[in-house]
Amino acid sequence: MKPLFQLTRSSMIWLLISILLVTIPFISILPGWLYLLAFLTVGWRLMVHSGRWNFPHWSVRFGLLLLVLLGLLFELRGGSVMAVTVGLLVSAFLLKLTEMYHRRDALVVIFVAFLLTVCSFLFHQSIPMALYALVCLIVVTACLNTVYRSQQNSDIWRPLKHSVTLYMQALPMMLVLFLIFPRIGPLWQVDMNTGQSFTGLSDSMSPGDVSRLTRSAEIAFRARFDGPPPPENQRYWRGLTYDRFDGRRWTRSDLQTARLSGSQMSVGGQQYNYQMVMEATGQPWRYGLDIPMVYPANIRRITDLTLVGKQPLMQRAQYQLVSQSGSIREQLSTERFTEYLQLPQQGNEDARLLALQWHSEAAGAKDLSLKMMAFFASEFRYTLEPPLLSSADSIDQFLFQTQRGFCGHFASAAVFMFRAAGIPARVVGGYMGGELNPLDGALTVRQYEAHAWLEYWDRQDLSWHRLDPTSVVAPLRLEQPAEQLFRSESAFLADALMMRNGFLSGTLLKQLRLRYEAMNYGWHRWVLNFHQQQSGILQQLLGDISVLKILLLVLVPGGLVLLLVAASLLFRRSPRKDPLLKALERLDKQLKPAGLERQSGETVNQFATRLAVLFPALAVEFLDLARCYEQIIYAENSDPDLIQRFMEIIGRCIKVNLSSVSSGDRLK
Amino acid sequence: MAADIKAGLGANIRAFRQRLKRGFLDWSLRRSPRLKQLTLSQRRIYILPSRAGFVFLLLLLVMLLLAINYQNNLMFATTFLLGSLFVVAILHTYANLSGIRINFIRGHACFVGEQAAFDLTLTASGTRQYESIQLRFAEGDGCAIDLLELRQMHLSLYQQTHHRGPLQAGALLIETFYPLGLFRAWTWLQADLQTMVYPRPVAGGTLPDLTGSGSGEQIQARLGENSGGEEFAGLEQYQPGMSLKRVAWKNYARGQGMHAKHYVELSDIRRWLNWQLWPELGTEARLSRLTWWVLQLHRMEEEYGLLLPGLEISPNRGEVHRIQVLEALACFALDAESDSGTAEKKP
Repeated sequence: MKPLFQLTRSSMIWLLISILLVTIPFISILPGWLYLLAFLTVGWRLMVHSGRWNFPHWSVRFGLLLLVLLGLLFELRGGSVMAVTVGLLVSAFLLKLTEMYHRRDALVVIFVAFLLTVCSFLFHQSIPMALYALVCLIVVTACLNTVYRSQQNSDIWRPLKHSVTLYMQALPMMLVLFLIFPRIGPLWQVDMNTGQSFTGLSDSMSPGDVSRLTRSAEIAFRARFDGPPPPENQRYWRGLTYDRFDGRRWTRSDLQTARLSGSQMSVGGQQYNYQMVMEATGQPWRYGLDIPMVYPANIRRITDLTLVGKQPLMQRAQYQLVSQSGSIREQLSTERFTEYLQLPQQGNEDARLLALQWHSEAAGAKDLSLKMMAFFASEFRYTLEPPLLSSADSIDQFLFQTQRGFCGHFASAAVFMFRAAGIPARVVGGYMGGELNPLDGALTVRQYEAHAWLEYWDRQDLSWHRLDPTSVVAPLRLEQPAEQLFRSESAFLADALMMRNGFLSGTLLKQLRLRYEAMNYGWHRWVLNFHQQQSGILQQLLGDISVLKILLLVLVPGGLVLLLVAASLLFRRSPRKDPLLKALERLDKQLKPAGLERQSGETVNQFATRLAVLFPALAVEFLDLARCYEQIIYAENSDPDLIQRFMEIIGRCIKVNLSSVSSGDRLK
Repeated sequence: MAADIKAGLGANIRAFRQRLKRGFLDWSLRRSPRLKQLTLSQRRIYILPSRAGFVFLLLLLVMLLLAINYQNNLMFATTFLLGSLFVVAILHTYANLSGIRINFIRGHACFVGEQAAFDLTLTASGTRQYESIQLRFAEGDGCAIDLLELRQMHLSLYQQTHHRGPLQAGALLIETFYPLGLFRAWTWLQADLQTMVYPRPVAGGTLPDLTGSGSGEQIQARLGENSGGEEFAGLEQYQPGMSLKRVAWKNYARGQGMHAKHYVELSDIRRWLNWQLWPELGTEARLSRLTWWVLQLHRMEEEYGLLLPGLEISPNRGEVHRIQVLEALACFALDAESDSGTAEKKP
């Protein structure tokens, strides 16, 4: 008959701690009513634990289960599948609390805790969160340990120590596995939407949209250049272009997103080789410096020479790019030519008139652009909080009345006028700038560096040219970091108070921040995006990869570590011998040839007395020896002098050639 | 119909598993001869994932699928960490059993239907720590022990008895799931221990004594508190629970303290427990009744002898005599009629 194992009280406490720890990372994701459930069940369990209440009746438990299922079904209508799955796991957890008696119940909870710890990485992947998850694993494992401990064992820290030891021993093999386990693509399509919201550019833009992004100091992406990075005023990161205007908003036409047909384009200028680590945007496009020329296979380049991935970017992505900065030479087809001239039928008549006037005066697109820049440079002001454009003719209102705006306003107005003058043009959304971290050479681009500019097509050299009105309105924007330019504006970094109040921009703290960011970048590159580095690393490590080499790489370190662990477990050093006994053994060794060694069962006193009789020359020493020994062992006198004396006597007895003394005696 | 087939299949699978278990047990017992003492080592310890371990493996698979599908390297890392933990747990579970020294001390006699106790000693090796070691006989309740500060543990294990006669200790299972329950390390041992199982005592019948001075009924009556017909032998210190009738009140009144009068049986009452006394009973029933009478007479400190076909034990008293008589009863005619019984006794 097998005994039925009941949970001990200490393992009950460990279980509660594990449940709490594992649930914390999901606090922002779980629906609010789950806290109520958590409060109820944990409270109930604590009352049971303290002996005041009983376990709930089965009907209560069943009712709770029904309520939870209904609630989760309700959540499923709005939220993401992942969030609901996690909600299901957490509530399974909490409900199990109300009927946990036996080992099997505890095992269910512990295994769900393991699974939840893994799932927490769907939502958070920072270094602190990874460390936190490790702590969770250790605690849950300690909990598993307590479940298998006997009742009488009450040392509450022992499971934790045990668990830490186990993980230390497991770590080397885990590293090897992590290094070599082949990272294959997803086996089936999964819902990557974890319900989180993203800040960043969107696929439509009204002039005020970009300034909204300057409220946030979140990282948009990081880039690391193989050579020197481009100069500060040339760091234009193109994200997407907008070609359709309805009088208020800029959007993208279907034509825009079509695949690039042929090689009727060419780009000149400086070439840059760099690696991007782009944060999740929830959108399909990928950022790149100017015109990406070489890009990975899972990304395509569309007609406006921006990059689009196969799916919306739900997770941080890493990719290698080669870009050129310069004008794009392109033979525009009629279809595309008319598309880039599209404007609403009417409205903004003043702007149209001005554009036509410039067109008649100017000797081509280049000249017109100069006129326009001079116009912007004269009266306009650059601000994060422009007055609201309420009129139906918003461009006119901006150009001739308010004359204050952000990059979006300028780009939008400029494209409008180019088109009105019959010159194809498009708005470009992206980022401008980036902070270079001298520690690792990575360039960090944040949301507040979002920017909008434009490109127009010049029929004289059949090329697209970049034009940034902001550069004349606020030339400093191109030269210095955004945070310095906007420091006085209240809307700037409103969502990132720490950055805004200069807390993180003082010199020392800035150093710290840069260090932290360098570490973070390394984390992203080497851990979070390891699957994109793996083959390269393995190649560096092994030369050409063969099955045999991989096997050796697993088996040799893995086997070695396991051997060490086994040795430490099985061949524990026996307890350190008492120095007195050791000394006595040395004496024994000396006596052994003569057959005079200490007999089993003979006390030290008897032994010494026997020797004193056998060797009268050393009688005093032997008797003193016995006295010292008795003092130390039986009177528990730990006086170091006494021990010293004991050692001395033994040393003297050994030095005197006992065998010769004894043979002399025996001859008598 | 389908349900029938299903049930049949289930039974078949159960039977198969039973056979498998049985086969493994026989095999592992064949590998270990009966021993007085032994040290657990890799020659005896078997280790396999426990049921929880298999569930854990399944969990790892789910985690791996999640990691692959979400291309999440931290998930990979966690999965591999737990996987490595699984492997390391093998060593820890094995180490929790290996090196323990077991000495089999003795068995205690009992009556049929009771549990026979066997004493053994477990000793930890070196400075190693052992936790949650479970021991049990194939038929019997288990117990769990730790060897932490306490380096040596004496314990008794119990085994159910079904037949009278000599009893060998059954197969002993020593197993552990510690530290994580993912693995079960176990071993089956054959202890070199035996004991005697006496017939089950059943009250009944009367007993004529050979001296003719008393009948069974009288003895029955004397079994009560009345010890009047016996010879006064002196005073003894009164202990709580002794009959108040025996208190020497006179002495108490004299202020000499509470004493009880002590009587002994008259030594000339010698009784023979004869096989022929109850011809109406079958063999086992007769043995049971005789056993009961042995116990009664021993309690009353009378002298008694045993007469069995082909065996005579002359009247005597005392513990040694009692054991001799009970063993004679236990072993009576064993070879003849309970061949099947002894065969079954093997685990």
